[in-house]
Amino acid sequence: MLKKVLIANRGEIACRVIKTLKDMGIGSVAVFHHEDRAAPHVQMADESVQLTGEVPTAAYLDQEQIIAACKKTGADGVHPGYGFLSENAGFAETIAKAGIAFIGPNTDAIKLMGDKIESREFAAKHGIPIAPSARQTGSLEDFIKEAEKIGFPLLIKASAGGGGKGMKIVNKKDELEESIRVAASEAERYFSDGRVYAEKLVVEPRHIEVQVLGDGKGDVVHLFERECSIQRRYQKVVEESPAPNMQAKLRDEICESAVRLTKAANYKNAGTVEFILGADGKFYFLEMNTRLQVEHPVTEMVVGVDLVAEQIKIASGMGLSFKQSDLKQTGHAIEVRICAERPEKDYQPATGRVGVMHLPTGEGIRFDGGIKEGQAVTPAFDSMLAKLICYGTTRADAVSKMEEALGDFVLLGVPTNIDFLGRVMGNDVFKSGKLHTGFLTDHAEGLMPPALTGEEETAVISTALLGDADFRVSAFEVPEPYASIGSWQN
Amino acid sequence: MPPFKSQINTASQEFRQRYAHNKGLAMEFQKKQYSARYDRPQRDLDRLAKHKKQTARDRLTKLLDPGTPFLELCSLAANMAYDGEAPGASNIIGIGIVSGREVIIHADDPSVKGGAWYPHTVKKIVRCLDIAIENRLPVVHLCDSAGGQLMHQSLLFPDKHMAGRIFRNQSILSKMGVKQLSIVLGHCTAGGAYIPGLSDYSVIVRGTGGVFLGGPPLVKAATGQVMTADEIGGCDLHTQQSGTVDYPASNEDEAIAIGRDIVAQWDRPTKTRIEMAQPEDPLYDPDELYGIIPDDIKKGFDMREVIARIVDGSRFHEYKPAYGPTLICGYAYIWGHKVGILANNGILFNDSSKKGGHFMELCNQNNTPIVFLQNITGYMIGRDYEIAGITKDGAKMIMTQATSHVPKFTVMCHASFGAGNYGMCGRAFDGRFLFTWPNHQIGVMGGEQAAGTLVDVKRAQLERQGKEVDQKILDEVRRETMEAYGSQISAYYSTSELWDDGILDPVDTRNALGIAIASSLNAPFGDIGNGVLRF
Amino acid sequence: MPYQINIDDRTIEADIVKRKPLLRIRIGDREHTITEANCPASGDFEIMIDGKVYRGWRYATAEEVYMRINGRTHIISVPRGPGAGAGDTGSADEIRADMPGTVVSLNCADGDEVKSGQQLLTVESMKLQIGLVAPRDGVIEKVHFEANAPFDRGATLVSFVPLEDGDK
Repeated sequence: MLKKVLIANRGEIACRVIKTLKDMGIGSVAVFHHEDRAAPHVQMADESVQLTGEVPTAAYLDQEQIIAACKKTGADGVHPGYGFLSENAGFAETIAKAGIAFIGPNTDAIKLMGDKIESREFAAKHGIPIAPSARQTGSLEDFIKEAEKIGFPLLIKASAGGGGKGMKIVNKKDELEESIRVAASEAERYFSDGRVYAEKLVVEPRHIEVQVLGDGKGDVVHLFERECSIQRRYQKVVEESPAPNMQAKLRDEICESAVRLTKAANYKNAGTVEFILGADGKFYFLEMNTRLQVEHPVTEMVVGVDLVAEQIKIASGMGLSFKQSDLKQTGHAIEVRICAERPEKDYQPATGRVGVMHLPTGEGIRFDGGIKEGQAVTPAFDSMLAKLICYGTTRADAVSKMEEALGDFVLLGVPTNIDFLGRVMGNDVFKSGKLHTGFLTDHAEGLMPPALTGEEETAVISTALLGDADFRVSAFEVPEPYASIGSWQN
Repeated sequence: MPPFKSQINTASQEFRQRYAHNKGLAMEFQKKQYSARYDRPQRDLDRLAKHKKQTARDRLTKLLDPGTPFLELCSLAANMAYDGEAPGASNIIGIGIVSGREVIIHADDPSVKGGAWYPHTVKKIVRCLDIAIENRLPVVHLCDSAGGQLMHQSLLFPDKHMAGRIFRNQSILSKMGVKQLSIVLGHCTAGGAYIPGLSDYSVIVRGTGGVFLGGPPLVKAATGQVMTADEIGGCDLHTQQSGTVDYPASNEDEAIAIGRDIVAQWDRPTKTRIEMAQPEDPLYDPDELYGIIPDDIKKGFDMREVIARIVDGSRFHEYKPAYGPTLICGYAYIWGHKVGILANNGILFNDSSKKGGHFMELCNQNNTPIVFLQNITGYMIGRDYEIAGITKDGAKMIMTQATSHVPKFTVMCHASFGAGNYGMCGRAFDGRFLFTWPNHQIGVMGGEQAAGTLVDVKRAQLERQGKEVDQKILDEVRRETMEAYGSQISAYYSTSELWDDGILDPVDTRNALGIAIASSLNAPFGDIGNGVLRF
Repeated sequence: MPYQINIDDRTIEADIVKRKPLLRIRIGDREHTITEANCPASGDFEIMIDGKVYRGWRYATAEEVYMRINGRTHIISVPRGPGAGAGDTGSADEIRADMPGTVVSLNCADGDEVKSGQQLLTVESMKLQIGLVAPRDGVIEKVHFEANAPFDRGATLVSFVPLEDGDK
């Protein structure tokens, strides 16, 4: 078993990993940029090492400094969290060469799955359904002809990309050429790699993903699916497990496909296989994420497994601690991502300070956060502040618990999506479970904040005034008899 | 202290008749006051708007804390001068609250001849600053004046209490530690430039504000240079180069906002401690004052009924009630402040004069401010009273009053004739504030008495000269005297000449006194000097 | 001057109507009585409006007030009262030199449209380099010195096209 693990990350995921390390009696080392010097992950860890960088994110991406920190503290394992270096094959390799355990997959798997085109071909080779697609091998003219064969609507994506950058939807044939050119130039700009590919566009698609664990020796289990269809700007905001209204047969098919792919890759550690599911019940492989996902807690709550603990055991060479038949889904879990943003202003990221925070508590409510009162929210990092997870015996139970918990969640000092998420929970279509990735766009209007009632407006303005020092002086420090005489004039 | 029991029957014919009469006078006053405040030629208002200037009233509203009172002083100054062309003597003065602090405000009124200074304007500003000195009230000047009215210069420039007194008073205030802020919203030309110049703090509006000893016409005449007001002494020149003005502002609202913030920095004075109580409204409606005040100058009334409608809870502790009953003395509270009240209930006799003097000594010993309610036709005359020492007893009252160290306040309720005016703290005796009711008359003696006296003098003169006593000549003397008195004894003439701090609608008396007394406590009281003499 | 409160892209006026015996405030065109208020700038509050008790949390930044009332967060501009924090003390049409020195570099030219706070030139006085910024948004009328040119104390370095009436 590893003795001391350095977490090459920050924020809620660093805190999340440290918590399991503490449970397992393993030492923890936090790394931090100056801007994070008082952050909770630094305070929670047994030790901490400061990293320097031109910008804060550069510090967390500096491999040399991280390896030096491992050497300095004697850490024998590195947990990369998500984002930053978590899917950087070079980093995994460097860590391994330094004789430190990388808590994640082997380098080959990272490389394989890191390339969208290669990974799709690999999946297809192993019988995993992939959306009909075409990739540019020769001239643009040939590629356009190939793409046409897929049929419309179709999607043009950057080979090296993600997060929707360089992505184009093409509805008609005569839009095709122009869209490809634009997508290629965007891809060149964002990823320094102008290669693009085209694929079938699934209408009203659902985003379904499967959590897998592999021991690197061919043993693989899945921990069932998660539904992550509630997205804005191609980023997930609400995730849940199990996927609502999913037939057992379809679930088995999807999960089995994920396991087949993972086994074929001789995959080690935790990973997630992502699919697109169409209304027709057909599903297609999207990509595999070779790391712990943001939304892993919903799986943990429904399956009853600590995924970080499993990751560490695997990295320690201990293999899997359970068989597939030991695992089953019980109840329902929902996670929401609490972000510093203005949903009513096109999800514009926001900055500020966590001024007042008051967390919801109760049975089945889990808060994964790396924030505390007084902490600044700067544009230096991702806008996600924390995650709130609710568990219930049924989906309806979990949804209403989440709605209530969001109502009780006080986070003032930076605009957040808390109230917006509350309105999502209260939405009838969401409650019915008829989800697809266009849900937030389709219901944008209904999810806008309702207009203030006269009474609310009065309460808000009164409170704003009464807490204002200047107003208080004006209201309460006018000398007598002037205050008593009031607005009189002779 | 028990409440006073009113004897007034509000259903009586007399009450209703007096009510109608005095309510009418009050409405006439309100109408004149409204007109003095707001009626301006449209072209003057247009000119203000064109220069992006607000009226003095609008500026004042923005300067004051919302929901607080404003006691305007001398609102009808100059109402009978200059053919009425200088309403309010072209400025506003008054006491109010700015950023929670008690201040006196002097605001030039640019809608009256560009805020030009008439002799009465100067007298009013000097009075404003005298009040500031006597009561240690910080001053906010809202400056916007075209300068002195040159054709009246002999009446506003050279004498002791003329324009120079403004700047003398400003200097004295600063030395006393009483702060002044000038907000320059228009021009401050020549002497006027010293108002911001001698203020401890100053703000100026870019574009419209200007401070200079000589404006563009004078500069052109003297040096031949053609320059704009802004070039000679505008905002940037004074806030960046000369340092004459402290804060630049880009418009009037901003200047006033900065001004309010400046006042918010000032230390609040420790007030002189007097006996205080929780304020309570009078038991009797002050509106009934209209039915109590007579409809004829010759008719008397019980001043206790007036007291009952001014003081807290209508409670009144009457001192020495059985002795000298024509002068009512006693203690009461006004807006929570303990005061001693002297109120006329008839002619002053030997006993009432001595009682008044004695009671004022008690007030001084007790650190209790004194309120005088005047309705006095004089000290009693005649051989018997001279033998009894009426002049000597009147002198006691006048001297005790004049040398009192506690603040004094006077309300002219009905009549103020002869030496009674002196004993009851007339204008000459440096009371902190003096207000007049619209029905009030003032003079050496009443109009009819004066006419009678002058007719007698004329007849004696004609007889001495051995001439025939022509009734026509005597009637002419009577008519002339009555006419002169008719206008000069009126409250409007009195207030026009700034013999008071303004006419009050009787129902406003309680609030006005409350603010006046509260203001007076900013200044320390003097020493009592001697024991209480039982005259 | 009433308090100006920005809420949901609207501006609402509020003012104190009276203080005694109970605080009465006007919001828009309606009046309300505040009977009890324990309302710190930041933290939990309790206030009684027209006889009804409201509890929640409040947090104030320099610009905004955040409030959590009945499970909903409200963000509004800090109420700007009469005189409270009037910070804009005017904006000059000219940038003058506080000290004699030389122009090190110019970042603007005649006719440029500039934003308040934008650096216009760097000067050196007494071995100290100082960046001079635009005091307001506006258009440069004239830059009076070239790079490396010496200037005296009080010299006008940059002048702005004066604001027209109504621009402000």
